[in-house]
Amino acid sequence: MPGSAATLAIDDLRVAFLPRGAREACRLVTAVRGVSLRVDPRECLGLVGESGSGKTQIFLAALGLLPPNSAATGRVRFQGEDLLGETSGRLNRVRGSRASMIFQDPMTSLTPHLKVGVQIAESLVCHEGVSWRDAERAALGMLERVSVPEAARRMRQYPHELSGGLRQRVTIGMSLICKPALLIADEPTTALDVTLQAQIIELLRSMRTEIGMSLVLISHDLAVVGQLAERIAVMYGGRIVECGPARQILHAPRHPYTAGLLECTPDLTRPVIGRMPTLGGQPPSAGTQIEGCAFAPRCPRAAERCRVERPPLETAAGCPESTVACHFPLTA
Amino acid sequence: MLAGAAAVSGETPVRDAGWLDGEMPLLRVEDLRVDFAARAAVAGVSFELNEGETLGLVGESGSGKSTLARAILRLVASRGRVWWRGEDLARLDGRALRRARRELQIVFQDPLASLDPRMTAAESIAEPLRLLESGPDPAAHAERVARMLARVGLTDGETARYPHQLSGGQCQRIGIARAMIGGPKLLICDEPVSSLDVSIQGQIVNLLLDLQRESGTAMLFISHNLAVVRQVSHRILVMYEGRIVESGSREQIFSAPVHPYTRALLAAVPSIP
Repeated sequence: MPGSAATLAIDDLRVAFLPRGAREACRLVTAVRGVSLRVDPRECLGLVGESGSGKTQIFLAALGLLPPNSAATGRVRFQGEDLLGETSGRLNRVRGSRASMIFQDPMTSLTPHLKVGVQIAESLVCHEGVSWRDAERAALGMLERVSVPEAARRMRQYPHELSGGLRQRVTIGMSLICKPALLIADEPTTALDVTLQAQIIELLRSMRTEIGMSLVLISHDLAVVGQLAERIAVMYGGRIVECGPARQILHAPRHPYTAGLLECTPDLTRPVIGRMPTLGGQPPSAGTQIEGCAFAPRCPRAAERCRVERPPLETAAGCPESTVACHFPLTA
Repeated sequence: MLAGAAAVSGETPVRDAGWLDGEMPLLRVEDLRVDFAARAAVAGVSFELNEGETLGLVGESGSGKSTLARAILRLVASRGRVWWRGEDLARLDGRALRRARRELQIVFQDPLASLDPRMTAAESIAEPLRLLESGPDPAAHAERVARMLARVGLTDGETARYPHQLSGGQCQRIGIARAMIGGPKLLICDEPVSSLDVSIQGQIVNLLLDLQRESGTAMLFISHNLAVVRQVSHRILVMYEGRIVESGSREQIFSAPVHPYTRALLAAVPSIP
């Protein structure tokens, strides 16, 4: 609900990197160019965009997980607390307990030399002062809850002994053991094939209701995001270009990029024409200077104005719950 | 197994029997098996692929799709037979093997990892010509490389760049150009768009289809993305745990799947709700 306290409120966030070896500030690579977002309690927000559009960097910045050669400005409030610029000591009380994040490749987010049972239990021991014995019992229950077969045996295994699908279940179990208020799932199914993808989406759906948490689902695939999200934000070139209720985004997009992305989303219901729908051109890379609208070079509706004047993110005409950044938005 | 097997060795025929009756498929795979440690990654696979045809190969990760592709190309050791244009591929060597390698090409999933980081786009595309074609004529080669660069949609500025300076989509265009420049008869595409953004996937698939139309190349199109396979394939093989569990025309697989695994695979594809 707008007005009531948001779980996460991001205001004018900017993230820039100084590439290794670069000395002068003029070589700064800007990944996030002023993003404002709100995630309400128990809400699922979908965040869609191409690789390099800045989707992941927003949340790495929010949780203080950016590498040292980067800087973030703006404001990030989580349950009323400012997170940006906080010390890692204070952030550690939030990360993994009240706000968790899972990633595309579960192998790189699990510790290779620790048994998975220990990795899951560890969160409870660190954050809630539970004894190892009780924490391991809770970890076992969690593994069963996320449908890991033979959970007791899996507890004693190392990450490399599990399949990709099981590893992702383990990271989900790990991220939820402290019942966080917010889970950020960054492309959680991209590395998995369709059957596993459907299972992980179902798991996120049921865990979300059970824990009553907010969920941010990041993906480049609108069909995946559409399975869970109530609201969807679309990113392009480091900015939000459209945000609104999922139904509006998926069925009456206002921004030409959203419309193009929907058109390209593979779907088994389309007629077989022996060709794939396309969106021409390439997205801008993070370092590029962008004058005007970042999508203009690929946009079928672009006019001269789009190339020189950047469209602000404004309430969409006839759609008070939605915002769009376009000089010539589509109409419903 | 790479060399020395060429001599005709008694009871097994060197020529594919089908070759005699004039109905020779481009590729015939017979009971192909690949064992990794104790496990069979490919557990007895047979199929045929005809000239100009696109055969889709679908299945989940670990089902053996990529291993099958590599076994056909002799990139992993296998048992069983692979007949290429009527000849036993395992017994080719010397000039015949070089010819077969030119005719059989592959495009990999990860475009960045499959390119040499120290070669520019143009150098990468010139390399197969240099290696696979005898009678070097530098001027003619350079012209073919330039034509291929333009054909796959790389700009003049991009041809002199290294892979790390290009996007995934542009790197995959280089991979396709490398595979196509020798004029192959069969192009194996192993998840060619899986690591690309949705907005780029269609461009790359359409490029493959256009090149195929122009050259008549047959394709073995491996993907776990059923929506893509459905648009490009004439026939489809469904692989599960190292075996082909169902094969049929595109219409049959998508509108009347028989095997429970095929059904489960189709049911799991998300669509815009």
